[in-house]
Amino acid sequence: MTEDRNRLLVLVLIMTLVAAVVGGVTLGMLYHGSFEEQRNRLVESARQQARLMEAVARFDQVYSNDYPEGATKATLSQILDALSQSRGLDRTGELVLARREGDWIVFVSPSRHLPLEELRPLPWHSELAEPMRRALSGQSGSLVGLDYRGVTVLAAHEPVAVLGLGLVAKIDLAEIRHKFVAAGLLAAAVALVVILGGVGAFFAVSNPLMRHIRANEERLRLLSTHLERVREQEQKRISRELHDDLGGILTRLRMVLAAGRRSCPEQEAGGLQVQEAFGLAGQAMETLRRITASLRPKILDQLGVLAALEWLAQRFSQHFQVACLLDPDSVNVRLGEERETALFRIAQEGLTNVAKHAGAQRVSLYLGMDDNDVILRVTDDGAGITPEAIMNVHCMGIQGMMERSKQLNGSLRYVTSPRGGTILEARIPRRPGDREEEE
Amino acid sequence: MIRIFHVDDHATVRQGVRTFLEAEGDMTVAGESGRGGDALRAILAGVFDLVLLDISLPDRDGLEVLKRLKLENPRLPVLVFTMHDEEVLALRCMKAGADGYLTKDSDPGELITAIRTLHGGRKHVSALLAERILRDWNRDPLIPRHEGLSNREFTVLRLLASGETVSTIAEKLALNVRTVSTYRRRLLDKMGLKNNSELIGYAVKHQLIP
Repeated sequence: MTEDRNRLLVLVLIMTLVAAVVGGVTLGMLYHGSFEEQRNRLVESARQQARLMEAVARFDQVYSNDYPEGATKATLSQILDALSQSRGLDRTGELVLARREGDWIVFVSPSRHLPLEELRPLPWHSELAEPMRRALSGQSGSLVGLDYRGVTVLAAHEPVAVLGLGLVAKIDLAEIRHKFVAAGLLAAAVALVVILGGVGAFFAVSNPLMRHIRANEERLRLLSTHLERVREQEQKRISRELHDDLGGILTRLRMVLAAGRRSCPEQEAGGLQVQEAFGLAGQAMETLRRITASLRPKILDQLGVLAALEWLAQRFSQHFQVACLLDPDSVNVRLGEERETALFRIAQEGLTNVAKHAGAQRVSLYLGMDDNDVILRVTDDGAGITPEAIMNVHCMGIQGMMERSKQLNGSLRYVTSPRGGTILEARIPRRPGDREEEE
Repeated sequence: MIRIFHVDDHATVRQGVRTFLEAEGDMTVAGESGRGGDALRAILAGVFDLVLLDISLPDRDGLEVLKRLKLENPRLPVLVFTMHDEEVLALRCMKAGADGYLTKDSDPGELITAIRTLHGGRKHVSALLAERILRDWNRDPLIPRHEGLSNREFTVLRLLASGETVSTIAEKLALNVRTVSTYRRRLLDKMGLKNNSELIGYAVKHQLIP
């Protein structure tokens, strides 16, 4: 079921990634647009206000010289009056006016966030009030920076020429961002619900399919196990009947013919025929033995898998002129017929592959146990094997070996040994009844 | 008269063998059985000069029957007479105490010879098998004999060659003294050496001493 969990995880990951990318790009574009709009608004507003103030100032210089504290003061008081009437932009937007007095920035308008009494002058060379510093330096424009409170704001700055003031129209960056963060959170929540729904739907559709595939796989495996078992039993039965019954009859036939030969020497009539029949019966026995050995060696049932491996090694050496030895560290493990047969068949198939492909000089078979597994190794010093050959589903030999080990909850792998050549290693889990036996 | 007990699960074979042997005149199949258990009881209860034994039996392992026979009556010659021609099996039988090993496809005349040889107190294996065993015994002269040793046996060989005694080796390897003795005997057997001085000679020649 780990496979299911991994599938789920990958699915959620992919969907989350898609949602995050789409949502991120969309929100990003919207935010960028909104930000530019806000900046234009601020720049426009700052410019208008500044020009208006300059116009009023110029007017006052001509017509308000009778104001008790002078024309400039008159203008200022009108402006402050007008400012105190306005609510400012949105929740945090405001207009701020200040003038430079030596090395100080002195605020002249009350702030939305602080009353005028608490608006202390700021030193000219400070981190704070960057927009105002630019306005007082005679620059007009916009920027993102710290205001007098130390809060990051989007601000438009504009000098008010006639009055020697700086004007800043600004709004907290957090306010612009706020609705996008909110929208992002909402979108994430919705996406989460949709993803979960989607995953549910996907699994609802794919689970029956997967179950179907797995059931089929299981059915095939059971069938192949069954066929294998039947074949093995059949081979065993045929081998036994040939070996014992037909072998017995042939043995007796030879005895009869040998007796006939004794009482009927070659020179006499029929003697040659008896001799020939005797020879043919011998050949029949030889054939019989070849057939039974290829079906299922009796030695596997009689002495167990280690002796059968030794026999296999000897036969291999004789047939292929390759030195094939049983590793002297091998142990005589007794595992019950089914698993001993499986290991024997794996070794047989492994050797067949060595003979066909490896071009080896020496081969060794090893059978042993560690704490968890029974281990079979076929080691050769041949050409080695490619991963493609191992994975090739048409290579029935390797597939068969894999299937056999899988049926016993074991594993099978090919390792290329550091000195060249190949090690085939089959491992099957130990069971409580497994034991080592003196040979 | 040589009194023979024949164990074979095939009546056909038993019948053939009986007819063939008794034609010799001085041999008689004085008892026979198709099952290992019955055979053991009958053989140990009676008086026979030789046992002719097939090792594929329906009820119990023929090798076990052989071992039991040799345990109970070591002087009774046992000739294994079987279809099996595998050296592995033949060697096991000889190790288990069989006095002869003959495959059923041998010339029946050789059966007579083998019975007489065993009755005379000597051993007999069929020529083909003897050749294979010999070839296996000193297989490839280019492969040194110590390569046939297990890791443990090889360790014991090197320690023995460097002058250690069995008991100090047992201490070093944290093993039973008897186990080490077994290793020593087995490795001498495998390498065809008689004693420690031959072993040291071999080890020096092959530069095995650490």
